[in-house]
Amino acid sequence: MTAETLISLLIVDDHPVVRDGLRGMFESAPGFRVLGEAANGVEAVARATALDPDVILMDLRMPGGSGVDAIRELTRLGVRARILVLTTYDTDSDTLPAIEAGATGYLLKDAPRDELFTAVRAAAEGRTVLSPAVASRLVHAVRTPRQPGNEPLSGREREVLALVAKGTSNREIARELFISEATVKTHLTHLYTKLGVNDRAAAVAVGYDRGILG
Amino acid sequence: MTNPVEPSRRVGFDTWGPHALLAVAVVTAAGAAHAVGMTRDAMYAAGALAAAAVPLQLCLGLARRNTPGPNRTSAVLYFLRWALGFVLAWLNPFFAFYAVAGYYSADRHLPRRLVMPGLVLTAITMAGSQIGGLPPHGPVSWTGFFVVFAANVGMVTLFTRFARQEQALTQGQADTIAELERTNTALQEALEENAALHAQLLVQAREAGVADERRRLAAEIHDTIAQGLTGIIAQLQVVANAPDLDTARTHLERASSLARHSLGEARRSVHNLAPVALAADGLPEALKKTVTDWGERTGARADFTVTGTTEHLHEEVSATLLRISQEALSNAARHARPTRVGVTLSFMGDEVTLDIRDDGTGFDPAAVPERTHAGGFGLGGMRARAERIAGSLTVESEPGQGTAVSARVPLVRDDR
Repeated sequence: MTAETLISLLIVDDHPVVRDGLRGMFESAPGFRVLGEAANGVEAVARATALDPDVILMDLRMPGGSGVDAIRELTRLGVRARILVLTTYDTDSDTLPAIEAGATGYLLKDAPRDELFTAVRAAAEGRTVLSPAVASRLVHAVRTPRQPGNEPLSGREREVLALVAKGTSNREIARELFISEATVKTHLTHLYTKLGVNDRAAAVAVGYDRGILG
Repeated sequence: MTNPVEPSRRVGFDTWGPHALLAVAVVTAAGAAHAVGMTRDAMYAAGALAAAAVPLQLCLGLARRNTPGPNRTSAVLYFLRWALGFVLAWLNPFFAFYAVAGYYSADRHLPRRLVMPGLVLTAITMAGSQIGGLPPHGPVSWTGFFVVFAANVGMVTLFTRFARQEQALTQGQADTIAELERTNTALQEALEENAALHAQLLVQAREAGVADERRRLAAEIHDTIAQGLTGIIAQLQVVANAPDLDTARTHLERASSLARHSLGEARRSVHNLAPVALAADGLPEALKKTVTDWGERTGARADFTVTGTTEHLHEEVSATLLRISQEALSNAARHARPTRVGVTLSFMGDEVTLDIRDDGTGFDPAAVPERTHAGGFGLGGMRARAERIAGSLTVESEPGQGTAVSARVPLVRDDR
């Protein structure tokens, strides 16, 4: 880590203990610099415009100026900083308005250090910060890959294959099933994997072989 | 409630009728005076008696006005008038016109027990006049008198009975109406009381609900957060007096894990406080409802299809897809003016796609500004939401060819 890649931070939370803990955590790690702290949304907007941080860690529920209002205001002002919401509860009612107001993502306050650092780096680079609940489950899913094999085709996949066999184009299949072409392509990808083929012609051939078609 | 209503027209006839009848009787009797063979003396007598009839009738009216209903005075005056009518009819049968007043006013002037005698007396006068004048001359005339008298009495009895029956019926109806009114009032009161009780019940139920919820919260706080905090304090006290770094670290880790656990419990109890409709119904149901409502609102044909094997999705995935569909449908309603919309949710093993296709006006996707830093609403907002859960969003459209929005996200199961 060089000085150029140092990520500057503004910490916004109404609890001094939480601010103190976060500051301690980031200052003890290389690559981060805490520019300042704010105790509510109004203060956060003033500090953010004055200090110009890369990333703002923002609490949502604070007396004297909510986080969502502050995010909306910062978005309106066109502030450069990426905003990461730090929340205690991962419920929709809290986080979705924050995302809609312009937050880059949100993290739970008890997220492990590494997860927090990774998210802040991703945010600073302008990458999407995944929802923590979904992210952890995705990692789990990647670790246990599904076995590609002789899974049966779904009803919709059989429909798509039958249309392919008639020489129908993706665009026409999409019109016929009243769905997007993108989804037709996704169906084809799954269908190819299940049949162990790489293109339409082979898929149709295997379809006839296995008695799925005709 | 016994309040026999006398029609005002009848009251008017009672007052003026006898005078009119007397006038008719005087005129006809005078015209027929020679024909019936009246002497000059009889004419004088009749004239005097007819003149006396006027104040008598006025007295009768006054008596009735002072004390409504039959009384002693009216009864005496009735019989006096009868006597007057009888003598007049004796002198000239045409005075029967006057005497007939006794028939229709008997029930008004006489107490009940005297009504029949009054009517019978009047019948004597009438029968006498009807056979051509009193007294009857010879056995044939007497026989005729009795026959006519019997017929008069019979008819009077009959009509009196009818009149009484009718009056009883009218009284009965009046009573029924009064009874109905009373019942209505009672019913109205019961309804009002019922409404008040219902409101009271609601308040009590709400209070009971609040009290229950408080008890539940208190119990939960005690079982989870308070227990957790106690444990954390205990661990930290060990750390404060720890002889070496390793012991301190072990207990710090325990404290930290206890705190994490308690936070998880707190989250769960807050979550239980605000159950999301989505969690209760599941995504397909929630989408179906959204699509149906949209169709009813816009009048366009709106179909919802699920393909593949339905699985219970993680709440965040469900919420994201629901929001995208709502946004896309609202865009379609605002800009595309479609006649048909199809929403398709496809489960495909390790991923899920949601398609919202319409046959509306369409647009040129290249002309729409790409996602801004703000995220925000519209297509950009939908894309941001999909990317939040490691998904992607595609928009296919051409002017005149409709629009298809497709969200493709990983299938994350709900493992709660």
